[in-house]
Amino acid sequence: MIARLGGILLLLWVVSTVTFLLMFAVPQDPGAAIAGPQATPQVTENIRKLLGLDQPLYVQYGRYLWRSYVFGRPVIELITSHLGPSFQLALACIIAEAAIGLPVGILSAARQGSRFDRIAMMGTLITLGLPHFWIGLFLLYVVGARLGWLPIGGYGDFRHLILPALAVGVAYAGWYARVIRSTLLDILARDYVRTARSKGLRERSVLVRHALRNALIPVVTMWGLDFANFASGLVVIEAVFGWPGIGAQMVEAVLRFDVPLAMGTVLVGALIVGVVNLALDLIYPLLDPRLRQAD
Amino acid sequence: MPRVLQRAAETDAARQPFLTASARAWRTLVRDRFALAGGLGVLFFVVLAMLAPLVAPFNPNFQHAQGLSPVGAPRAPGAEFVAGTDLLGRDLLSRVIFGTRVSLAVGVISSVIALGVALLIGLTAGYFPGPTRTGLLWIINAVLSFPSLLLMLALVSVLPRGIWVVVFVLSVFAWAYPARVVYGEVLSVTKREFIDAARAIGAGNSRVLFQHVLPQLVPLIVVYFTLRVPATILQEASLSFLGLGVQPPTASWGSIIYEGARAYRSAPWIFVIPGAVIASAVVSFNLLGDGLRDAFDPTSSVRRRGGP
Repeated sequence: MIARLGGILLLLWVVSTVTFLLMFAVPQDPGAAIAGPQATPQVTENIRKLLGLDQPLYVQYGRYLWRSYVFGRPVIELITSHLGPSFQLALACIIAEAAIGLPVGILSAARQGSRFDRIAMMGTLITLGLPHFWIGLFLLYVVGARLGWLPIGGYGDFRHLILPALAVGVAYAGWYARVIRSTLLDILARDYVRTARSKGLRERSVLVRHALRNALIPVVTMWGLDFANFASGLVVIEAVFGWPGIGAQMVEAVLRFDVPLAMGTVLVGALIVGVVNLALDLIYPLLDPRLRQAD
Repeated sequence: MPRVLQRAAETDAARQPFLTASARAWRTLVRDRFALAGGLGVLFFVVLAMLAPLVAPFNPNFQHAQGLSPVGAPRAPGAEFVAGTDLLGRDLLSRVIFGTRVSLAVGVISSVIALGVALLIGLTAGYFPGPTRTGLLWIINAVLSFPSLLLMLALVSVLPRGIWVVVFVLSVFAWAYPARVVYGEVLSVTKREFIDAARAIGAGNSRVLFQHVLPQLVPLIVVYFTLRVPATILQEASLSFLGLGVQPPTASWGSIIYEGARAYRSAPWIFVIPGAVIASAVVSFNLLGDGLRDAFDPTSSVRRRGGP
């Protein structure tokens, strides 16, 4: 447990140091990039001085995650203001994924081989082949611009949340549908399900009480992993919808050569993923008694 | 075994001609309609990429004078420009066709690099126990535990932009998962009897590795490659969509969507068409990959089709 936490911190340190060194191995000067191609050498030099790029390497290393090049404010302060929207969106997205994917997968499993099953599985094949940002753009065009039902992006109330969450939901619901379908089919072939049927239970209660409960365990794993990944920055979707999460912040920082802010967002994102994974490992034994015995 | 059953088994065996593993795999593959469709799709895109200059109606980077309306808006799909024009009056169909080259090349090259590294590390970790294995496994798990898109962005932020950086960034994290799979496979292969037999007749490490272990890994590598390419195509599209991938005026499927996104309301065809093309390429590769997996591993197809 402590070792895992230490491992996460060690990895964060490795990543930050490697990227820091890489920054100097590459012949690209952030000072010159921020000054722009028309700047005189004097201006570029002043910017370099202002950002501390003229200092020796070890001084820069000590300060490099401290202050944003572009905004001139502490990196931590800039990032925490974007965390709230990121968590909101991540939560909405995992709800959308499950709300679309699970019913489709359960119905497919219940009517295996039916027309619904075949069409649904073809559907997952196609949605999983589409880039999620493309689905986002498409929804923006049809629902936002053409029909005018929902705002076309930005941050605000519940209505601003619907389209980005729906885009991610449609894009990844296919995984949920497939996983719950195949897990259910596996379980429905087990002995205890046959026993439950032969007791004369209705098919519906066999499916819900005996099979579905057990089939949800892998889904919880996927949920946790998705939540961690989404909260650490739904980079592209945030860019499409102008959602002020840490993903959008990261892209902006990268595009403007704001190396401290870019690294800061990456490290915070990696920290979120690490912590959520750890939390998941602690939750599993509560859901699955078999894991409790193994400990 | 009772006499009757034994006879039945013998006649069955006689009726079925003996097939080598690869011949059986091939037969399963061509009988699988979905895999066949996927294979044809992949072939289509590969030929399209190779023949791009012959197939494309125009130069992809040429800005046609008649490609924009008098007020400067792009042309919708029509007789002259089959798929319409983009915001600079360039022929969209030609850009998508030439974009096939870039997107496919990025997908294939970085998958080759990623799987090459995976093979090297997986073989080493699986074959040489002790500190080598421990160290390599630690590195594999470290790479796996990090969110790769974030790290790609971190790398892109400090590297110069361009197509080779995209290839590098897309392969630098992709090797870890297949490396672990290769490692597991090597572990199980080296426990088999024919490895002991090879050693017993005096084969050295390199002979055992390359003559006996490596061939066992071929199906695994082929399947992972086929499934890695579409994943890479989607990642390249994401990077290019953020403006961090392939740089203008070069067209890739993702960069066309990136440029079209600015006018998604007035000129939706610019983003819709490359998106549909990406989906058909990705679906083709995935169908072929799934089919190959079933063909190489007969038990998996039983599981998929049989069921309760």
